[in-house]
Amino acid sequence: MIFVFKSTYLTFKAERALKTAGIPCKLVTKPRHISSDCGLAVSISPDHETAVRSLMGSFSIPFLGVW
Amino acid sequence: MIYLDNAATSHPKPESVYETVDNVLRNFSANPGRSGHKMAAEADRIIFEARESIAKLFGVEQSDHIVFTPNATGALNLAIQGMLDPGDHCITTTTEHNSVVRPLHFLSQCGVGVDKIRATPEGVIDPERFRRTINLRTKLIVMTHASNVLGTITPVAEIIRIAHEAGVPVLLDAAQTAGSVPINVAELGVDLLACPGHKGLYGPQGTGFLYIAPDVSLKPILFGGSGSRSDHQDMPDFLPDRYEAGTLNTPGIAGLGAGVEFLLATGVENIRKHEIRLCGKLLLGLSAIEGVRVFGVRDPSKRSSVVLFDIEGMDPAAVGDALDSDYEIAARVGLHCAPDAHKTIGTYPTGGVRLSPGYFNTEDDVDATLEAVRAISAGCLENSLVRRMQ
Repeated sequence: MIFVFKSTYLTFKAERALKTAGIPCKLVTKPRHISSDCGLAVSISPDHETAVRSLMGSFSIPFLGVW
Repeated sequence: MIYLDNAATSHPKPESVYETVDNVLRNFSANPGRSGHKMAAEADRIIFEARESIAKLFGVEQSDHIVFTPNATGALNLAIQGMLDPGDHCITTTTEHNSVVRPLHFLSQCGVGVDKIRATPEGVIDPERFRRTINLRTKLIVMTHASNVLGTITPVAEIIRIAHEAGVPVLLDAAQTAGSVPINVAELGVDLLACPGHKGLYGPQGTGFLYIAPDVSLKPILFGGSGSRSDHQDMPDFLPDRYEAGTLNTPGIAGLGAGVEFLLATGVENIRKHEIRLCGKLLLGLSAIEGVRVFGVRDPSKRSSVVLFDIEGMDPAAVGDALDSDYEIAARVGLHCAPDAHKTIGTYPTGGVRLSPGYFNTEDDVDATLEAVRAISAGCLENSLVRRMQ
């Protein structure tokens, strides 16, 4: 499962928040069918989706979508 | 070599800056924000961490409001050109560097009104004069935090308060103070802060940034690829991408990040204390030398680490050459890219000799410099006497 953010800045802000919270994540290239951006998205296990959504909310990190 | 030209660019840098630039240039110099491979991701992370460190040093809540530029001039141009349109009015001072003077002069030819608040010959600015000069068209106040010629520190907190009472945003040029005088943008309430990366922040040349407050909107002045919204012809509407067109200087920004980490560990207050001590010693020592004229306020706590002087009857260029050739002392002579400031203090067009000690200078460096100036001045007096007797 991947979380997509509108900027590289927000992607790395999200990665830092996940690492601090101890949630495993990996940066992957944004799939072309999702975004016209050249950058990265954050891949997580579907098991952590609820926790990640909650964490993004508490850190005010908006995301474009989840795939 | 005794390097006393830190107001132009700092030297040396902390060891960690050299190591970081070398490591990043060798191993992580992929294009940040453009690709998804591991090296590009690491380049992205390096940029992100540098932004975070800068935000921490300057009390910025959201580090995406730090926009990287090639230098302070780039940051000032983005703020000035991004803010002002024909018909607008801008207030500045007579102690500004050409990085402010020239963009404003250009805009004044395009219908922007510009008023300059005159400083005293010591470089002191009266904040109340801003209040009297603000009008309904005033869109921006631009001022230096400290003159690069005299070092005189501008009473920015009071001027920002006056500006905000009238709803006018303030752009602060921190070229001479970032990293050597504590600055907290939240406490100060400054709207735009332009900083070089290569002076008091100890980064390499080719680095700088502009802090943009959350409620400030600027037109972009540079257009191109950002790695984001690639299917749109407009620049993205979010920070920092909106203002960062083109490939960033990843090794330079990495070095800047290392410089800022050095400052966070050392403490800007400690750097300030050291530079005040050196500056005070220089001011006292130079003032006691016959034939030497020292400019600006005498209290070193009211100036950045800059001391301007000249020697009666001697071209500042000749003084600089003698310091360099005979004593291995690096100073800067001339107009220091700030003709308005030299006109204000009466040293235009000849200029003066500027000494700018940094954190890595010692009291021994200052003693050796005073000894050198004493000898140069004595030699000048002697030559003058010989000429009169002939």
